[in-house]
Amino acid sequence: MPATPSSDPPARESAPPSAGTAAARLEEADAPAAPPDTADHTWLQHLGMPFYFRHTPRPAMRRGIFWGAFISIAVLLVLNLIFMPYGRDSMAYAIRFALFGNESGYRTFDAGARGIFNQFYIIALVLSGIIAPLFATFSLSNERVLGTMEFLKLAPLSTTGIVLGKMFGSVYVIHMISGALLLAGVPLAILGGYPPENVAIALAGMVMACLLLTAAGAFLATQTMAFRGFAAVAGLLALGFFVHVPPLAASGEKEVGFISLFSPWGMLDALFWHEFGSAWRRANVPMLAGSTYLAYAYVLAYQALFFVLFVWAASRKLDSSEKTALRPSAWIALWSFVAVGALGAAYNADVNNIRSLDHCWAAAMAILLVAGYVVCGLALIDHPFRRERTLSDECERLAGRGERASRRRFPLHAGFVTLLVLLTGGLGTAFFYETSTANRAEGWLLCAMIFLPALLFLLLALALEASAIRFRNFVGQATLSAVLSALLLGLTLAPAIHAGTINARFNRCAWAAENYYRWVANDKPKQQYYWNPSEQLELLNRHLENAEMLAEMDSLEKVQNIQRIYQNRPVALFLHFRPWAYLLYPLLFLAAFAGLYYWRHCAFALLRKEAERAVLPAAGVLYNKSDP
Amino acid sequence: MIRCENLTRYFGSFVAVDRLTIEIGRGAVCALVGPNGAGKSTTMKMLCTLMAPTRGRAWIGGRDVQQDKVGVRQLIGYLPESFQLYEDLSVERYLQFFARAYNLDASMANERVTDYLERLGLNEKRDARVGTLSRGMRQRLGVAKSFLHDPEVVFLDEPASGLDPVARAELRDFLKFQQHLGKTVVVSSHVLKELADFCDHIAIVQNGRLAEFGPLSGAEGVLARYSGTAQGGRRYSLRVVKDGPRLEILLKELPGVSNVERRDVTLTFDLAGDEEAAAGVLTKVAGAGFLVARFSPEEVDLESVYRQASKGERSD
Repeated sequence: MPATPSSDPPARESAPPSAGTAAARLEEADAPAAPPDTADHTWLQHLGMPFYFRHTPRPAMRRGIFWGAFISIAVLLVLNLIFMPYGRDSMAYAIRFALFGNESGYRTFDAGARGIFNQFYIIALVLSGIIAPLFATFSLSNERVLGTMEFLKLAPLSTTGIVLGKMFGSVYVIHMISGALLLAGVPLAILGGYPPENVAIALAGMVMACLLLTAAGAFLATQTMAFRGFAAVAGLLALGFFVHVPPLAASGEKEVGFISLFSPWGMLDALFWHEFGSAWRRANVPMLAGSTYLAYAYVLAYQALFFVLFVWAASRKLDSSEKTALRPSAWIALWSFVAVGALGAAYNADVNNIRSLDHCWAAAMAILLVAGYVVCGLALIDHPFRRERTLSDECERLAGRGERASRRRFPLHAGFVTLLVLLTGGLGTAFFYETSTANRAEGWLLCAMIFLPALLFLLLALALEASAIRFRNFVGQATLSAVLSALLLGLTLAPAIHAGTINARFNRCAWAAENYYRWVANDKPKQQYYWNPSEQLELLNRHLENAEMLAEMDSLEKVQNIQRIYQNRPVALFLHFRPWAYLLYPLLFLAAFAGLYYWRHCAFALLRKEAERAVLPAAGVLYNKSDP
Repeated sequence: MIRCENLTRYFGSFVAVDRLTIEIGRGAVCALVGPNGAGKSTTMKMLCTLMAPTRGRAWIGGRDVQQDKVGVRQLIGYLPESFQLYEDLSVERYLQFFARAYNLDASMANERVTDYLERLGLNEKRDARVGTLSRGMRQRLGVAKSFLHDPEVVFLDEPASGLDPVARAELRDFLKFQQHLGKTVVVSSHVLKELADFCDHIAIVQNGRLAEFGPLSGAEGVLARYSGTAQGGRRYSLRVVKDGPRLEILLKELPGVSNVERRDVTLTFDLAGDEEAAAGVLTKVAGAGFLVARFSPEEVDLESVYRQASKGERSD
């Protein structure tokens, strides 16, 4: 073996600068001469945007863009001015009359000014909130696909700077056109009578929506390199649809109306347009904790948080695809915002004619369970298990260099996600508890609401980790994860569906039996019979499960007694009529957990064997255990 | 200036770089050589902050390549083996763009761009679109980009690939000039003869491990180490006019002579001892009636060092 002179202690810098002082000394000794302060420190460069310079259009194109935009805005303004009200003796009126007849145009100057603002605002929104993010996404994605990103990453810029530069530097012209439109539109909005604070909120809403979508696009661009960069664009289009459209469905609901503000169109509607709707719609002012401004502040803050997290995640992924997109603290922050929003909806008490507090709690529960479980699901997918990395660790460990027991083997991530799901389920159940006194009847039901989803997420986390370790390619991982997720979801839903079916059957039987006994006793019926109660009971009796239930309802007293016992206690009822479920479902869950945990263990064992095959033949050459 | 300790990089179970420990001083020009897949490019990428090491640490100018990426990037220039350029920009605008990315102000950027366009023979192409450039021209542009911000340390991965012989010579002159400016350069290439012209250090990498490292010349240099024999002597070459087989028999009988190899009338052998012993051998050969055409110590070049180091043949 040739000697490696580097193993000899060098005269200088021989000790690794592990200690701070050593590092400082080393840095002092070896630090290069400070480069001349050549930076011109423009605000764009402070934001990490040297790409401004790359995307500066040629002078001719620059002039073309400027004049094109200028003329377009001017034409829009002129057209709008034509539609303004004028005295019948004015030239403008004559033009309007000649072109569009007597009935066209705005009724008042205020209406005209607002109309111009609305038009300009929407055009700016389309430009900066839809077109610019798509271009920026393609730009970043394409840079990765072509391989030019490597040179960018060599420049003394932080990865966040590169992401921000690609997000805005490549499309700054589009944003400038939007800015010009708003510069013309905002004064008119205020002159037209829109409250300045509403205009300010609308502008903030537009900025945040644009930032959010651009950052989401940047994140998608760091995730995929397929179809020459267009996969990320397609992803952003899909995401944009979900950001813009579904929240609008909440605009009519008083309890959760603030959700509509997440869509820029919903915000416009709430700020400016709702006055043109029906009386019912006008009453639905979006509120959070009883305050309209709090609702706007919450939505803007949430969008800002999302923006920061998307940029952060994009930077982390661009830096190293092995990293998770977000750290646990970020997931907790996201979840906390969801919880705050849900609590805010819960306290949208009957200020402004909201029907009742119960509805508010129900809305809070819906928000928490839907948004909270979505956050948990995303955290679940963003797991730290990477086959390559784990295999490297295993090789290092076998070569006697790494840790004896790798931390990566412990299902820490699964535990974290399960904890988050338990919190979601716990808080959601608390809201459910407040919704109605009937919902407080059974502790078992409340426990099931908390623990069943947690169990599902724990099993899913184990399945995802195992498939990530087991399969080399993404398709294998994704396919198996999807199949297992479907099976586990089915397993979780099975007892709930089973209990629900029994409950429905019980109600039907109890109702029919009560009617029958009242009918026999010529008593006043509880409800109007549509069929002969005797025939109906006979019909129900034909089914074995109904017969089993009806056997316990052989008198009116017994019917009323059993109803009293099991009213609003579906789990107790389920276990009364299906006692074997006590054993079956827990056993199924236990089997699923054991199976998945064993499979996960096997996946690690196979990985270890692969590492052994790689390491042991090379022992003494590549992996001399006696080496330090 | 460059230091790494136990730098290791895995790709799954494959070890691309295995516990590389190396230290290169300021102003050194180090040749990083090794067969394809030896781990040269991976090492460079790790040192350039583009790839995270699985284990180990590295410092450039005292800055940790993992902890202070931006700081390290200010100090380094890197030309990858294969790279992509912005096809839509002109050559001049491409360099201007990166000059601004490296925080050079407008006047300095113009000055540097003009300077490097001239030095690397790109002046005539300054307005041409990058997409229209030939392979060699793109390589020159890549080199210009790597040196544009006046980095202290430059990593060049196969910089001469795709260049014609004249361009190679120009590149060699350019690198020599950079060496005079005191820059630390790490260059990987398969053209060992060219490397020997301007490199003062060599690191030979084999299967991800460092097979040899040190200064190229001098008493303690790698060339000197590889020119020696196991007994501390040297290897000599002897050419006679005729009777090669008979000379081979004679040499094998002489004291201090070993490892005799014959190729027709040229014989090579290891001789223990100094020049006096060599003179003794020559006297005996001439005394035996052989007509000696040439007798000299064998030259050791980078290629033979590389071959021996790769096979682990160094005798000491």
